[in-house]
Amino acid sequence: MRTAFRGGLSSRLLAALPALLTLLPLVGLLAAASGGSLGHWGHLFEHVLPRATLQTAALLLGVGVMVAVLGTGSAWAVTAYDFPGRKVLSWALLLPLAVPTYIVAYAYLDLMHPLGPLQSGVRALLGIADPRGLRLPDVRSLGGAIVLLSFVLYPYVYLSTRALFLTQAAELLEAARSLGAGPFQVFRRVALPLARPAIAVGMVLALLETLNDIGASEFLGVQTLTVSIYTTWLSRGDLPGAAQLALAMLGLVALLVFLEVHSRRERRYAPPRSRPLVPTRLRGPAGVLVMALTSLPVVIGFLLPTSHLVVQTFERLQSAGGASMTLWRSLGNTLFVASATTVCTLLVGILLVALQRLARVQRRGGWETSMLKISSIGYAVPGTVLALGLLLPIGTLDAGISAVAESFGAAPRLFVMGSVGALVFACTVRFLAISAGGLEAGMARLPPSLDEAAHALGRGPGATVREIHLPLLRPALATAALLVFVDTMKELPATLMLRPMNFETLATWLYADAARGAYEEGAVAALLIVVAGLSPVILLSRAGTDPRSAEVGR
Amino acid sequence: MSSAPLSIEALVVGYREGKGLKKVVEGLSLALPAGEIGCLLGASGCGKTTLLRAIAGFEHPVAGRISLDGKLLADASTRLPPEQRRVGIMFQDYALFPHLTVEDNVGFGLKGLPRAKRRERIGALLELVGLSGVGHRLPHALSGGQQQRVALARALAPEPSLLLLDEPFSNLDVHTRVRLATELRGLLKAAGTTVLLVTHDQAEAFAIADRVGVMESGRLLQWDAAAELYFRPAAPEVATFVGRGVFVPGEALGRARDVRLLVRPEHLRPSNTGVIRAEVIDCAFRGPGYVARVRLATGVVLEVELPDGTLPAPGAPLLLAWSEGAHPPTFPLG
Repeated sequence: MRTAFRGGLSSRLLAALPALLTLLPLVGLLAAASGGSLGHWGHLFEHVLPRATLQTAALLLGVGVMVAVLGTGSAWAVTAYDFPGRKVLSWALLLPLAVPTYIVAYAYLDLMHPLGPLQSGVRALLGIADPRGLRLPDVRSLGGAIVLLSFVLYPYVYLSTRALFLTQAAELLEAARSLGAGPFQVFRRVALPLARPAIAVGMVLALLETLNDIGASEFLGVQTLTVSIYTTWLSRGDLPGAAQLALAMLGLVALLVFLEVHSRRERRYAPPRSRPLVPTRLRGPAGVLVMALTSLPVVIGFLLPTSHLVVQTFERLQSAGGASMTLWRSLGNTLFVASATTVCTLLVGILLVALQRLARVQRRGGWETSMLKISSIGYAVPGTVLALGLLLPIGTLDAGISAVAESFGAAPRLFVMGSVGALVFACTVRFLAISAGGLEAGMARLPPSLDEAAHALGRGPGATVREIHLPLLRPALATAALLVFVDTMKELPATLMLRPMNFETLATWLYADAARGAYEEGAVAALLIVVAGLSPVILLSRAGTDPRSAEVGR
Repeated sequence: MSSAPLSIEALVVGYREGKGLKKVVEGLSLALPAGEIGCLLGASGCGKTTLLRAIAGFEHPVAGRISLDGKLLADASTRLPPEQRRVGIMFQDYALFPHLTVEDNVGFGLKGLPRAKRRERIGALLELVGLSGVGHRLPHALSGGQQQRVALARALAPEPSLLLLDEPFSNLDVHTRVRLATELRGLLKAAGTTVLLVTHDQAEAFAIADRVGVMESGRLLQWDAAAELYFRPAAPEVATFVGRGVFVPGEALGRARDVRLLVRPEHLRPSNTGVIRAEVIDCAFRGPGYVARVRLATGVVLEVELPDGTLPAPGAPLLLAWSEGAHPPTFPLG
């Protein structure tokens, strides 16, 4: 016989642990930032911050507008109209999700090079012999960055708005048609206002991705906040300064997250789901035009860069007679870090979701839910900021371990930074939201009476999780594992900053290649990442009609 | 089979709501003897399901006590966890584990048993509920009625001292409900367990239970045999909830001024020698015979059975007399 507070305290403590660990990088960031002198801040404030903020704001504005237009336009085209190729396009429009921002920049730098295939092709077509005779706009510019990022990030908006158009709008749109509005009027006066929250949700996800990006901005020469943080730390060796910039950036992130939460709340008041919309058939030139316009994002965001990578890979493998040992080793490293992160996020995710569930069955759970939410904030924190925040705590930890080791006569070394521990920890913090969110959604679909039935048949909390929850959550676990695994493979900024010396992953290998301006095996690494990135896209396209997939896709 | 008497004393169950406490069960007491089938009857929101869940251990008393076979299950400071109560429960949605076969569902509560014994017991239970052939199937492959019987077999498997059934027929076809209720009573009596169930359907309650309780706003108005509830309701609310009937001031029927009577359709009959004057509003066929709606001189509208099947025209005057042995329940005017 036990008291009324059975299990409450230990469950709360256990749930608080991941939340505390998630907050560690933020604490580390504050500590690092306060370590700097105001003199540093003066320099940063005068020379670095204004420029970086301006460039970042321009980039965000440009990408925001462009992903909204591309995403909403393509989503409306494939749901409201029937034209040749619609079926294929409705999933192909997701393909650019498989191409990380730094890879699209990497590919286009090569493609658009004055001596690259695109410009040479255009010159040949126009009969111009001199490479200087034709000047296409340089991709290495703010405009280039906006366009390239938008063409791989629009699928976030496409996903969220298409889900809305597919499931929620049919009756309203038909009502508008019957009241005499033409197709364009229906779009402007009904569909667009209805989709506004969904557009905002997708746009915020795309913008968080933009803030997280380091490779593309750097390759294209845009001095964003992220790039400034990285160079302040790396080239100037100024951790406090970098931390101060990172705090400024977190303010921007908080603003975006607020926008997202606000939009999701608004979306709850959308009309209940109804029949899917019956698309209007387009024949002849109109159909061909819409097909061409809708294919454009797929061509620019996926087909061109990917086929370029394929060609480059073949050329490289042929001329070098296979892949180098280093590439194989970085593939091995990538798979190792991704597997370790996947295992960690799943274990922590299961722990948090199970604690929340068990608490709810006991008619509490407010605390556990808050801890779950806090533990999930990592997805919004850019990798650079996260890694920077970990440098100080990990340095302190390493120093402590070294001191203890030395007292036993061992040589001092970096135990955490020298292993992949720091990197796996950072990736776990960053991607925990994917596993926790997916598992929470899966758990919400299991009626509470299943737990109660298990309890009434003699099972305690642990046995209920083992025998009921875990077997029933298997699909959600598989999805979460795949998404985390691929996202970790693609991760660049945190990997750059937290990997041990001489430890290369596919992403850092490619980054080094591009930084040297030597296009060697980077294309092979890039292609491997894109191929891995295709599997979650396939998963998404299957679940495409399900509005929840917009959340899964994050 | 084991069975035990259930006793509930002055039980209060509620939820915190802001600073206050919203009581769902308010000072309820009842005693259910071992081996009997009790049924709580009430409209949705009357607190009957909360009471059931408190007995099972999923809600917790603020005051009062629940004991089974003389052993304390819960009071304001003590909560025996559900898995230690020996109370079986069959949920409204059956809560069959979707990833386990019928056999594994039924065997879920038989963990400590050796393999052979377990198989034997599962076989016996499936035979009891008439599902011997489907043990290897998954729950979703079964019909609603079959699922219900699997849920029952699963709840009975660990030989609980008390079995709780939450709206056992709500997911089933209206036509099969009463038949299944009678069938279920047979099964439960064969198992010999003490049973408490809740329903909002009076026909179900009467078909299955030895003892029926009527609940309203968290209180138990009466706890009695079905016939007692019908013929001798303890409160006006019981009288209206059980069976059909209309309250009529005693004066309108030539009785005392300070009382009101619950007049059921079978209490009055048309008679040329009757002394109660009424006017026919309309007639309708209702199960074995016709029923007329009539208006008394005082304006009260009530229903009267028409035994010989002759239908008076709307607007026609009708004289009414008391049927033989009619004792309409009488309450003070309130």
